[in-house]
Parts: sequence; C-alpha cells; structure tokens
Amino acid sequence: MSTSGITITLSPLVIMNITDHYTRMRYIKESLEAKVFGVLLGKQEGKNIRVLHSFETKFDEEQMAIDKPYTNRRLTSYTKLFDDFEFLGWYTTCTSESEEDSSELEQSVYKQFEVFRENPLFLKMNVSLERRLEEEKKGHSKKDMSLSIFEKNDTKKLVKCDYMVEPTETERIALDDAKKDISSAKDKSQLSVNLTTTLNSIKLLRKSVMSLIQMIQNMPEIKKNHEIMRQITSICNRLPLVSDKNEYSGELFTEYSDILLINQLGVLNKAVEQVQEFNGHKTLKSIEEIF
Amino acid sequence: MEDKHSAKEIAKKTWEMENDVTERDILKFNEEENDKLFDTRPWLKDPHYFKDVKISVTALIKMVTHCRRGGDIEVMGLMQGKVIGTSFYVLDAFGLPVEGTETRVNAGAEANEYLGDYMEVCEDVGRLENICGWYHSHPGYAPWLSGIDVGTQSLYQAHQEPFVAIVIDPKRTISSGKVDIGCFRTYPEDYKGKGSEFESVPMEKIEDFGAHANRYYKLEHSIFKSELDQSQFEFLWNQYWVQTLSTSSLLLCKEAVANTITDISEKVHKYKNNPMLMRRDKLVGYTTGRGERGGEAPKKDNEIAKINKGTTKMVLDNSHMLMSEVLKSMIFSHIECNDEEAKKDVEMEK
Repeated sequence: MSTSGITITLSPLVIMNITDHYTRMRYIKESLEAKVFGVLLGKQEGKNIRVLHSFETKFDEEQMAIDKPYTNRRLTSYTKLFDDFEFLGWYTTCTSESEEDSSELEQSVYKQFEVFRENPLFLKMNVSLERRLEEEKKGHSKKDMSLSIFEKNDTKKLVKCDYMVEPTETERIALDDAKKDISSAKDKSQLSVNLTTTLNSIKLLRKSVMSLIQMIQNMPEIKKNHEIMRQITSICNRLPLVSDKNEYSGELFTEYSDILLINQLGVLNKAVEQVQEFNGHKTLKSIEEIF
Repeated sequence: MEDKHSAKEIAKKTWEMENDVTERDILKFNEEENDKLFDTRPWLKDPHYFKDVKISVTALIKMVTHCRRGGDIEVMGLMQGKVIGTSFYVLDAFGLPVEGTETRVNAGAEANEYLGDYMEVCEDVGRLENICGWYHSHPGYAPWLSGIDVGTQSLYQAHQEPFVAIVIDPKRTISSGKVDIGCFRTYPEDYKGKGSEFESVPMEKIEDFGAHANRYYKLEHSIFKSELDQSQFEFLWNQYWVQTLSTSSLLLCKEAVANTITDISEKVHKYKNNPMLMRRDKLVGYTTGRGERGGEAPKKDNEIAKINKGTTKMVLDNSHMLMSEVLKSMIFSHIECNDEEAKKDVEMEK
C-alpha cells in the first residue's frame, strides 16, 4: 500500500534499460553477481508519478558511495533532451531472493540520493534468470515479478509500494513488434500477426474472468464476504461499458461504412490498373496482327 | 510449463544457429575484434557489403519514443553498436538536442558538444561501443532518404565507417500498428547499383524521393533481445494486455487516415490530368510486354501501380483497425450473449 496515496506508473523502457545495463555489466565483469546502480527519471503530476526513463551511474565500491558529480552531469545532459523530466529516484539490481528487501548498503545509498530529491523512489529488480525459470516451473503467475519499488513512509522506513506498468502507444507497438520477431517466419501475413495480438489479450481477459468464476464456485463462503462480493459486482457492472448502446452502434457503423468505402476505392483503383494493363497488351497484339 | 521452457530454448538455439553468434558475442565489447575489423575494412571493396541490421529492443524503444516525442518536427539521434560479419548490431540509441535536420547537413556545434560529453560518460558505465549509425524521423512521410539525408549519410560513410542510417516514421507506426522503420546505406558516387524499391510517399516529397532513390539501398532489419529481456517480456505482457485491448487505433489515427486519402486523391487527379503519363504507361506496356510475352510486365514504372501500392497499404491498415474495434464491441457491448456463454462454459467444466 503506498503511504501517501501516490500512484506510480512504470514505463517498460525503464525495465528494459535496467536489464540491458545489468547484462552489459555482467559480461564485462564476467560475473552473474554484478550489481548496478542508476537513476530514474520521469514526471510527477500531482499524486501521479510516472517513471519514464533511466540512466546508469557510477558506484564506487570502496567508498560505498555514488559518484555525485557524474550523476549530476548525466542528469543535466538528459534534461537538455527531455526537458520535462525530473529526478524521481534510483534503482539497483540483486540476484537472490533473500535480498529482495532493502539491505544495509542500499539504505545508506538511499540517503545519498536524498540530496537530489526529498523522498526518492527506490526500485529494486531481481535479475537472476534461474529465479525466473523456477517461478515458471512452479507455475507462479508471471504477474509476480521480481521488481519492487520502495519509498520512505512517515516513520522513515522503506516500504514497498504498488505500481503499474503502463506503456505509451509507441512503446506498446515496439514491444509487440519485438515480441513477434523472434518467433515468426518472414512470410506470415500481416493479418494473422495483427489479430494474434488482439487474440492474446482477449485470451488473458477470459482467463481472468474464468478464474473469478471458479473462485466463487469453489469457495461458497466467499458469498458471505460482502466486501469481495461488492467488488466483483462492481467489476461485472463495468462491463457494458457504453451506456447508450444505440449511439455507440451508430458511431461504430459509421466507421464501418467509412472503411468499407475506402476498401471500395482501393478495389476500384486496382481494377483500373488491371484494365489498363490489359489494354496495353491488347493494343500490342493488334499491332502484331497488322504486320 | 516444461514445454514452454523448452520452446524458448529451441527458439534461442535456432536463432543462434541461424545467426552464428551467441549472446555473449553481441553484448560483450571486444577490443581486439574491433581493431581487427578496422584493419581489414571489408566494406571498402563491396558497396553492398552490409546486408542487415539487428536492433536491440532497448534501442528500438528509445528511438521510436524519441521520434514520437518530436511530434511533427524531425528529430535525430545517434546509435551505438558494432559490426559482426555483414550485419550491424545496434545496441543502444540516444537522441541529440537538435531539430529539423532537413535544413542542415551536419549536426551543429551544440550537438557535437553533447555527443562528446555523452561518449565520455558512457565509458564509465560499460557502454563501450562506438557510434555505428544515426537515426532520424520522417513524421508522416515514410522511411526513405531525402537528398540532404543522402548527403549526410555519404559524408558519414566517407569518414566514420561503418555507419548506417535509420529512418523512422512515428505517425505511420501508430496508424499501422507496426514499427515503420527503414535502414539504409548509400552507394559511393559512381556506383550504379540497384536502387531502393518504391515507397508510397506523399505528394510534396515525391520529387525528392525519386531524384535520389538510386543512391542508396535498404537493409533488412530485425529485432533481437537477450535472455533476460525475453523473460521480461512475458512479465510486461501480463501487465499491458489491458492496454492492448483498450486502445483504439481508429480514433488515434483519424487525422493520418484523412491525410493519406487526400494525398492519394491528389495523385490520381494529377495522373488523370496528365496525358503524358498515361501515354508513357502504354509505352511501358509495349516494350516490356514484348520481352515477356505471357509474363507480367514489371510494374515498377507503371504510374498507377505506384499509386495503388499506397492505396493497398492504407486499405489493409484501416481494415485491421476496424477488425479489432468490431471484436471489442462484440465482447463488451453484447453482454447478454456473454453471460449465457459463460454459464455454458461453467456447466461444461463441471
């Protein structure tokens, strides 16, 4: 539960950046235990914090200190490019499950980052591949990711907060593209590719709904818990999203006819092209006949 | 679960086999390999040396996001990476604080300063690769190289080989649901190579496109990710599938669609009013038909075919957008049907 009602949204770019940073360091240091540090950037709009970008920083292992001038330098150069982003927090990685809570070292590093911002966010990601494979085998839902965000609550202790991953439109498309790329052959039609994405989302939706249904069925005592029943009812009530069906269908059919019209024009164009081609050949043949 | 795991393994091994590299080769910076490459410089002998570009997910997201942020203004940036064999590997990308590259051949002094600073800073955090290319955006008018772009790229290729040019169209990316990206390399001055294929370009830019289309060629591009990235994907997907369902590309792209239609109609008008073009097409029918009797005349020079290419793309994009809308309306607005089906499912599972 976040303490002060702040909502945190995370962009997938940040997640990919962190894994990229870790992967690089791991190959350079030739060790899976490499620990990396970096800064989180983004915007804060009232109670809504959006973490949109990140960059790496230098960490001096002997002194257990973050290189502040370096961080400042990078911060200025990033804000030149992204002038609406500000320092939001910092991140680090860990590789074992036992370390998922904040450690001593991290607490001290946290204090160092307080110079930049009063209550910075602290993101910790578990980058160990084995752990992920284990989770998969155990059948844990992938929702439970090895990423936690902490912030300081009133009692000056670091507590975990809730967060959401929300890609922007372009990020979503790029991610979709990247996802399809590794498994698809080159000549899959664009139709199947497009529909597969939508199909997958619908599948997941159905899965969640089914699990809700099963939960209610299997545990009749839930019906007695009014709190949960109320929440479920509110979910069900949200489904007919559009209150005025007629107006919505009207709009939808307008769009539908527009697109059918566009299709028609496209087909007409194609027909013209083919007629012209035919014409060309026909004329050619008649000249041959003359001679 | 077991199956899924091994499927991934298989996919990974297949990829590695096909590409003859391992993740380590790509991601670890190798000083000697780099030096060896610069000693031999195989690209000098063959203008067509580089065949494809492999882009990492992080780089792709950064480039596309930066281009989108620019809105209608062209933005540019640089990419870091390496060359293995005949492929470019783009590992990272970053934007430069300059705008409107159409009017300038070189990034200005401010950009150079930014660049110098950035490179220094990168060394300290393990990003050791060299700059291997540049990218810029063509908002709304497709990836290709304009006259100025060709000039810039040729300059880079003369001084900073190996270098690749990438162009991204953020607007068409959103409207087609696929990243609209092209990777190019220019030919040296005197080389008469096979130019790039035709792209459907809006009217105002089409002259610029045609004039320089023979000076460069397009490379294939693909996206790669490390193992860790791959597992992140599964997680991310679990988070943003909601978004996939909820965004409506129809609504987002209305302006772009209207623009495309206007553009195509302009082209058709121009064609209709220009008897020269029509006659030329007939002639094309003569000369090529003779050579390939029974076969198809190469459609490359056929004016109408060019227009049609753009039309087909637009039609396809729009149909796809509509399909997802219809699917969603079936699910979310016909709630009575859904309830019954859900009940049936439940009964069946009993």
